[in-house]
Order: sequence, then C-alpha cells, then structure tokens
Amino acid sequence: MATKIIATATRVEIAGTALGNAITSCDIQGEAETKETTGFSDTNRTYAVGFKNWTATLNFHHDFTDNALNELLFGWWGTSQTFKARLTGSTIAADNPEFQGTVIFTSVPLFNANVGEVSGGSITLQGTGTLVRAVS
Amino acid sequence: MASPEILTNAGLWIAGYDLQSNLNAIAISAEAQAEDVTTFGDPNRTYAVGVKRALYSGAGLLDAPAEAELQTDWGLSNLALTIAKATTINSVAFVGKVLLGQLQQSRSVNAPWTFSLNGEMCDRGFGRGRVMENQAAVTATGTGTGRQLRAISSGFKAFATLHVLSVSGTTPSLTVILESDDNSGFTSPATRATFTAATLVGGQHTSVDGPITDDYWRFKWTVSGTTPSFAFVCALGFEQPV
Repeated sequence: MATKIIATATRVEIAGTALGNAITSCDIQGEAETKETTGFSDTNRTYAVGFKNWTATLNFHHDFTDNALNELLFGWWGTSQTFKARLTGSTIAADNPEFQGTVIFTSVPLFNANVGEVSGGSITLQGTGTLVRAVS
Repeated sequence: MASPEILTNAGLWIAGYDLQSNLNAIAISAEAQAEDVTTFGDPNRTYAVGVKRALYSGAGLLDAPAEAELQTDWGLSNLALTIAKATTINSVAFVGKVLLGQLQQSRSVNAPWTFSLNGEMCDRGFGRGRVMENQAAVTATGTGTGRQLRAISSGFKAFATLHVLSVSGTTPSLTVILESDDNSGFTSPATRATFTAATLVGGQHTSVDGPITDDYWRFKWTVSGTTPSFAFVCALGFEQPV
C-alpha cells in the first residue's frame, strides 16, 4: 500500500539559501524530447528519445523585508543559480530524495499588488544541464 | 520566516502623475532570454542567459485627470516611472525609464470606467531601491534624510527618478540633486546626479555610474521663485540588490 504524503514542509533552496515558507508550491517537470523516426514500410509511428529538459515552477509570497525573497529574486533575475528541492527538510534519503540542478531565472514577477490580495506570484525556472535525484 | 503582505498602499508614479488612487493592480515582470547552447555530447538541453528586459502593467479605475495624463503619455518613451510597495518614505521601490505602449479603457453602461496599461523599460535603467522622498508641499530649500542602501560596484549603475506632481507660485523652480557619502552624518557628501531644474509638472530619470564606495544616499533640493510650492517624489534604485 502506497504511503499518502501531504507536503507540508518541502524545502526549496536556491543559491544556498533556503526559501522557507515564502514558497507555497514547488513543481518539477521533466520532459524528454521524442523525435519521429517513422519510415516507409513501418506499420506504426516510431520515435527515438532526444534530449531531456526540465523546469521547476515555484509559487511564492513576496517578502519585502531586507535581504528576503523579493530582494533575492531581483538579484537572481537573468542569472544561473543552483537549485535544490526535497520533500522535507530532513536528511536526504531514499524516501526523501533531493532534486538538484542549475536553473536560469528567465521570467521573474518582481512586483504584484492586487487590492486585497497577498502579494506573490509564480515563477518558472528553466533547468539547464542535468537534473540529479540524490538519495544520500 | 517569510512575511507575506497585502499591499494596501502600493503606488505608481509616471512622469508627473500619481496614479495610486486610480489603480487596483500593479505588476512588474522581469524577463531574461534563455538561449539554447546544447552541443553534441550533452545529455540534457543546456542554456545560457541572453538579453534581459522588464515589463510593467497596471489596471484600475479611470477618471478625467488620469485619462488626460495617460492619453498624453501613451506612445511616449523615456517616461520616469516609480512603482512602490507603499508610497511612504523608505518603502521598497522599483524605478525605470519606460515607454507606455498599451492603454486600454472600457466604458460600459452601469459599470465603472476602467483601464489597463502595459509598457516596458526603455533600456537598462531599471533598478530596485527605495522611495526616498514624498513631499506634499515644499516651499523652501531643504535636505532629505540620508539612508544606508549600498555601494555601486564597477560596471553597475544606480537610477534615480524625480516626479514633480504639482507646482505653484510665480516663476517657481525646483532643482534636486542626489548625494552620497560614507557616513550617516554626511560630513563629506559628493553630488552624484543633478536633475534639470523643474518649473512644471513632469518626471525625470537619471543614472549614476559605479564604482562608488559610498553607501549612504540622500536627495537635496533648491527652491526659488515667489511663494513657490512643489509636491514631488524621489526614488533611488540600483542594478544590484538592495
């Protein structure tokens, strides 16, 4: 029987800084390109695997406190940074793997003010290179 | 522990106009192109950072004065823009030199007169910093409060905006300068930028080149004329985080 998990303490770290409860969700999306290789005499479409690609999407609350998330995002805009995320802040393990890689900040919502709403946003980070799934 | 906030006092000044009481939504999106640099031998797609840009938008309720201002600004570039977390002094602010590319207004029966605007920074002159001054009725020469913000590294810049929101008096003139120093007492201030003397409502944007090791900053102003009075806002932003 699978263990049901509610992610209440996911740890997201960028450039060595744990972002704490400024982050409200973290999705990592892995894609593998499929290139069609179908030819004459094939009865079915056939494909070959191409490059792998990945992105990480974070939903967050802005924090305008000095040195907090809003200031960090401004500094990370247009840069490559190390990215790490794991289910909980506990030790990395087989049941608490950490995804590790390098991301580029391609689109950063630096400011969002809507009357009556908490300031925040969603940011999609472009992974570059290999996404590692570490278990120790 | 993060401090999420509902921004109930956010502000946006464009050129010589304060749009706060018209707006109910403000956003800035900073973009950077990720250029594919994958080569043979790579197991994954790899990317390098390309050109950066920043876009802004706002939406809200229109009235006649705001409509007149925005119609004037629509299609113009190099407009001074300041967007702030709050209009109070020392609040986090973003400054830029922008174009107002898109302006849409909507009028429907029995519905508020609404609008939205979108634009983009004209060039590199976009930074994050603080609202340094928000003066409602300045009638005499004065000096603002110095604040410790940051130094400017070589190759980087700071950007300052001046929004003159109202002018009255006979031949009134307002000249604002930006000073830096290495101490809070400003015992050895250096002038880093001087705005053109303002005699009318309007906005200005200027830049300061690094390196500058001083990390204290303030604005000073000189007022002349007969019974002059000015309302103005000054903000200072940096390319580097502060």
